[in-house]
Amino acid sequence: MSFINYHTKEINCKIVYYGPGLGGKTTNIQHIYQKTSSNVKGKMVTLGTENERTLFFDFLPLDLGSIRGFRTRFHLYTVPGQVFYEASRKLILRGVDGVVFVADSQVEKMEANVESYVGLEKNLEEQGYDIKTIPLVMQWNKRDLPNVVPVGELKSRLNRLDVPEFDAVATDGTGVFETLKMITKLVLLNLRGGMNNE
Amino acid sequence: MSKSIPEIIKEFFRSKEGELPFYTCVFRNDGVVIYKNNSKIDEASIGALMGGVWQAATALTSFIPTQTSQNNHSEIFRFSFDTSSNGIYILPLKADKFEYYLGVIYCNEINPGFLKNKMRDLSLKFFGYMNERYKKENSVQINPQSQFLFTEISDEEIDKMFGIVGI
Repeated sequence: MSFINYHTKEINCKIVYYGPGLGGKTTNIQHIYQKTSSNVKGKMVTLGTENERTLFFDFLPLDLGSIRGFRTRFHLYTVPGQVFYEASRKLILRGVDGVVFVADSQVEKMEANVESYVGLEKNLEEQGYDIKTIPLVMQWNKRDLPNVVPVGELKSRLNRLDVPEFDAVATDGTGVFETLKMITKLVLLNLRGGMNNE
Repeated sequence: MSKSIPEIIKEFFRSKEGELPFYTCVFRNDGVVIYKNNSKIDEASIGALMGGVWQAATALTSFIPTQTSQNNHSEIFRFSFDTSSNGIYILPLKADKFEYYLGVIYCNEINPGFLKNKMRDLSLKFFGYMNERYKKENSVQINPQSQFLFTEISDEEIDKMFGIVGI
């Protein structure tokens, strides 16, 4: 549910990082937080557990620059990846404008990736979205590890919609901003004129 | 020029600033803050947390056996988390077909019950104000939903946007 204020010429959008547990969603957001100038980012909010797993969400507000005279503000959220936090994931998807699916490239995580993707599809549908039309970017994370699934296999099992995809190593920042730039672009292109008062 | 709902919200709450507690904000359920009376606190964090807590609380109400429709909840439920003098209070605000939320953080309050009652009164006054103003401003220009705001964006434009954030 993007928010376009025509009077102040401001755009607010919500991007959710979704994917299996320990896949690197929080690491993506942390890297973005660390690398952006302090004057354009808000405080990063993390609602985590004692062992640093995401409990409810991570949240990072980011003021990007202007585009065609509109000031842009993006709210980045992660969902908790662990299977039993399904209710939290549903809530965080409310009002989403774009999704980054962070897949864990390790062989043993393939089934968790597929399960998470199916969950995303279902949860989006429950919120009234269609995965085929919502801006979506796939990120194949942890490409630096030795036991990774070939990209072709990840693509054939998880990216049948043929959305943009990026290899990443979120721990060192590889692919993190490429992914963010692409989802940002897709979200902006998907913004509808809407009503002035919305 | 006609006023948007967020502007009417700001106008109403600015006129009441003398009566508002330490931190008062109006936000949407996705955490976007429309109005705040205290610029020292990071509004984006507050908005995200208040939006999150409201949504979580709303989801929890589905476990109440007498409730059947989630849409009915926001009209009757308020969220309160407090001690005898400090706390957080959230209540829904109706504005035309949209729903916003009034979030309050208060501290060292001698009579929190009185404060909450005052906030409920304020939400009712807002409802009346909104109805009156919005009807007057009903000539708000509507852009067709089918029109995209941008038909194309180049990679250079995106790079330029991110250049500003230091990337």
